[in-house]
Amino acid sequence: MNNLVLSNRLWSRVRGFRTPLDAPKALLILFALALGGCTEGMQSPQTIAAADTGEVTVQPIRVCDDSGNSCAQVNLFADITAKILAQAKLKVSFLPINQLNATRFLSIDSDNVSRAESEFYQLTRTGGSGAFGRNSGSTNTSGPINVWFVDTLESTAGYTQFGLAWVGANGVVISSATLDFNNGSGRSDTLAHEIGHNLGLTHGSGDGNPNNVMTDGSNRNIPRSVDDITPTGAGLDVLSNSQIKAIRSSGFVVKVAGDALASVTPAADRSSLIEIAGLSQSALRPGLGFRVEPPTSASTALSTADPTAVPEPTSGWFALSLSGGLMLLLTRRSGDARRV
Amino acid sequence: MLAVSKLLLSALTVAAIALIITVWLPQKTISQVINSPTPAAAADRMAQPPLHQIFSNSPYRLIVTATDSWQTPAATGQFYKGDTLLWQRTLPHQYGPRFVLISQQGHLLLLDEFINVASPYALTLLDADGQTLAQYSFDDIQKTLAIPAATLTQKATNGWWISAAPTLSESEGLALVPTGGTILQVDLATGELRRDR
Repeated sequence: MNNLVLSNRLWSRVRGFRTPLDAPKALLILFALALGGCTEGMQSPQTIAAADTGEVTVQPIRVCDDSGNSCAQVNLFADITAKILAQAKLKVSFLPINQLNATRFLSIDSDNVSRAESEFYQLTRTGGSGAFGRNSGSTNTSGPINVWFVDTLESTAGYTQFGLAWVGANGVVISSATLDFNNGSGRSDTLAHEIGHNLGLTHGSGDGNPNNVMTDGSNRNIPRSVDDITPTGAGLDVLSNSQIKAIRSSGFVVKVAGDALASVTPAADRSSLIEIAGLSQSALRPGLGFRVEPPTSASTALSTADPTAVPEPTSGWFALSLSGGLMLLLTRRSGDARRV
Repeated sequence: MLAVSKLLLSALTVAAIALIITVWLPQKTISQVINSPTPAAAADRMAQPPLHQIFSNSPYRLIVTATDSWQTPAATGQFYKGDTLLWQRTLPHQYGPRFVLISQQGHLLLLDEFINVASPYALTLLDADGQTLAQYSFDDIQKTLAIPAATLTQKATNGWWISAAPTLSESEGLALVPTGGTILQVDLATGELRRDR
């Protein structure tokens, strides 16, 4: 309907034209096509060249009880997460922590997660934009990756569960067992592992190599510090070339202009690392190119799960509308000129 | 000139209308929340060791049990000679050791941890009374072997550094541990480490 109105207005607007101008016509068509191509490129992570850098943004969400107390512990292991993903020339940005006050989400059943009544499904895939502490800019396949920190991930008997994530879609849950692991040293690569799942990687993508970050939790070697991450020290948490190629094509990866990883100075890193309201951060190493934003925790009360509209990328619409309008305009002009 | 100006004015008008449509239309019509298919889920989880394990070299026997079915990661060791309990204690390894060797003198060598970490308890030698004779971390072993940590982890098949199940050389009183392309020898009487040349 809107396009029809637009067309009618265009017809009336161009009636004064009488002279055919092939050169401007061609230029406008080229302009419209170029604009369409550019905007499509901005939407598509496929355009990231090998030498370019990308950025992944993480939205941490701390889950507390209904009254806002008894909160789950949060540790982003930011330096380790950043160094692992830096293998793919990805910069990781951690947003200020949101808070979700909902006792029923302090313990998440990790079985049958595809059912609508599962806590994980509800947290990650219902309620619309911004629900359950999610970042309002997140969609299922783009925007900041939402990571909930909870007390417990209930698992099949015989397993200890540290993290849970969708493969190729938005949503991660981290349990406190991750922080208690190894006498409290922490299972420091779990967040990077789960982000890898959101970026599309499976356990099999690591070919069973114990030193690959995506290898399953029973067989993967766990780093004790950032020094153990490849290419230094014990050479752990490797991303293979095929894994790097796969995650760089993820919709969660945003192209960064210039060599952002190299441009982040150690001083900038240190000044931006903030102790997050008593949360323990693993030691920061210079030159890793990640950012931790100041903690302005926003408390999010549990809301009802009413799916609402979420905007899709709009630049393609713009190019399409512009091209259509211009084609109508020029076609009309050519017809008028021939009649004259 | 006038025609070009009119053309450019029209183009700008079209662009403005297109921009309005762009900003307004998608928010009213598209929801990715409702219609997107449910993807597969994956987890970072670890298989727990058995609740009850027995390591023996007659007449000695070590029983490792989960303190509360691994609800909390803590393992208890009970060491018997025949039916006599020689000692009992909570082990320092959260989920218990990965391997255990027992000498004819009743010395116990606990190797590595069940979880895949650079353990401070990579090797622990206890006497028959449960006293610690020697203890080595992963870093201690790496220094003894003089092999880069990355080489050890790449050649390991169990955790950070052990590349095959260790064995006893009873005649020499040694434990032989394949690691990093060589053999680490552990003297079961003294705890001394040697790299097989």
